[in-house]
Amino acid sequence: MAAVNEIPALGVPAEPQAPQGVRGLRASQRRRLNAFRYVAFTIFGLFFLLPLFAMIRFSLEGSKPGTWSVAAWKQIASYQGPPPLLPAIEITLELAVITSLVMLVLVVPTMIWVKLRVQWFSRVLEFLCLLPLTIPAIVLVVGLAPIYNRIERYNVSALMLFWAYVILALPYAYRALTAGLTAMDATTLSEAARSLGARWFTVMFRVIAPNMWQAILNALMLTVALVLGEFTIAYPLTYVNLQVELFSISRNTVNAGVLFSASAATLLVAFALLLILSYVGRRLRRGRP
Amino acid sequence: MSSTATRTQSDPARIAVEVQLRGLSRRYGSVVALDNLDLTVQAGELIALLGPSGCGKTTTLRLLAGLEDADTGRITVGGRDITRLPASKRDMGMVFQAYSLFPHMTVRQNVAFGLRLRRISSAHRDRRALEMLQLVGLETQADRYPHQISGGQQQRVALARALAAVRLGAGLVLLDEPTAQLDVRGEAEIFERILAATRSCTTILISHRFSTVRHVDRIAVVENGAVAELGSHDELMARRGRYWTMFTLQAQRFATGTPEEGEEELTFDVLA
Repeated sequence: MAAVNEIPALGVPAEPQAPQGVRGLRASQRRRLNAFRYVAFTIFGLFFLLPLFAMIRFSLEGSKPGTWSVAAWKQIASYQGPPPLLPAIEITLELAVITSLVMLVLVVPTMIWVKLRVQWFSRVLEFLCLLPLTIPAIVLVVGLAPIYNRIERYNVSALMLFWAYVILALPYAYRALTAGLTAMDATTLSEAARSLGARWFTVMFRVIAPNMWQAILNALMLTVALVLGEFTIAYPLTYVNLQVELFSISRNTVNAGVLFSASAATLLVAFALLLILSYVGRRLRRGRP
Repeated sequence: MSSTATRTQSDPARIAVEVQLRGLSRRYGSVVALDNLDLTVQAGELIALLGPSGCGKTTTLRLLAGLEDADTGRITVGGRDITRLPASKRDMGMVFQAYSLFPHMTVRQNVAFGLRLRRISSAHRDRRALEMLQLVGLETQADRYPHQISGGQQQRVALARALAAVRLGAGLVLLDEPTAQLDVRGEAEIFERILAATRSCTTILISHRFSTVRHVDRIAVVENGAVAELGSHDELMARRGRYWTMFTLQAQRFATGTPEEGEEELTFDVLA
């Protein structure tokens, strides 16, 4: 037998697998599919973009009919309330970050651990995570009110809302992460890593978690979107986040343009955040399956 | 078989270890996977576990690797009792049937994964990983991701990854049907590489294919969770037991005409 080092190289680069999907269709089918896509995108685009366009247009209207002005946009920074606008935006963005981080720290390791080590618990975990979907927000508020009344004695900020938001976002994050976890053979990958000497911590954070980046980003996007638009918990608990602030402006200000400019700005910030997360996801996945 | 002789004679078992399985039992609910299995593998030996699906071959390997715990019994490797030792501390190389390459790592990073866990410096790690890839003829694919190479190449990467562990001192390599998803030509190529690369250690191989197992030092025919026959190919043929029956059937099939390309070999499942 030839010595180990003399074994000739047999490998030839494999052709990358041809992507499935549209390319496998006939020309007529492809045309029909493309036409359907354009129609669907146009309808849904109009449905979502028309209100946004109308809102932006209204925020840019000047004091006289037919004139344009950015005064309403400038007032976002100078609007003093009560309550002031900028602190509400700041609080909401901080809540989005804190809620997302707490969500990831709590849910990602738990889900991986349950998948790898205590699969019998997965049904219970699924039930617990999806439970908030079945509880109306107002019921949640009634339950949370005594707790928040108590902690308010310690003069805590609206950031304490993150606990409630974690509960609200739990079902969406769970679903997104489950999709990522079931898309790979986590058990076999963990066994391969352990056979190479990896401890459980390494298995979880160097082998499994990096393979579910897309799912983690999806969970992040859903959580951020939920926090940016949350009103039903914050308002009854008398905390001021962005949505409560917008509601307050709509009731108090004589210049409705501020309301529209702030709402449009919120949506644009949300879109920007989601685009950034999506871009990061694509960068992380570059070259990978 | 010359390759086998070369394996055990020309390269004394430098780091090879003796493996002893004593009274191993494992149940999954009411299903008995292993029933008081006894087996001794000599240091430096290449032994194949052969048997029908569900007979306990893979369970034996998983218990050895520490991926599952035995209900009863004892496993010693190199005189050390590892029955309750975690998988991460067992210090052995394993090649899985499904390759199990890490999709988010390049071929080079896959091979270097075990080295990284042992805190080997980056430069040394890269050099060693490339060395292992050269052994399996894949050094040109080092920076590709697993999904960018063919199935046969992925299998060789898995082998290189296990061999990296051997180079770090692991004396035992476990191969769970490493050629199951390859065609006959691919199987012959990879098996030659396995034989060459694992000369210095003890190797336990699971395979359904007679063309593979006939070249090993000894064959353990596993049935109903226990070793039913044990010996070299010649010994088992002389014994005229189940191995002989199956092998003869296989030989007759091939003697009656050249099998068509892609036609599968008979396996023990036919007798099961």
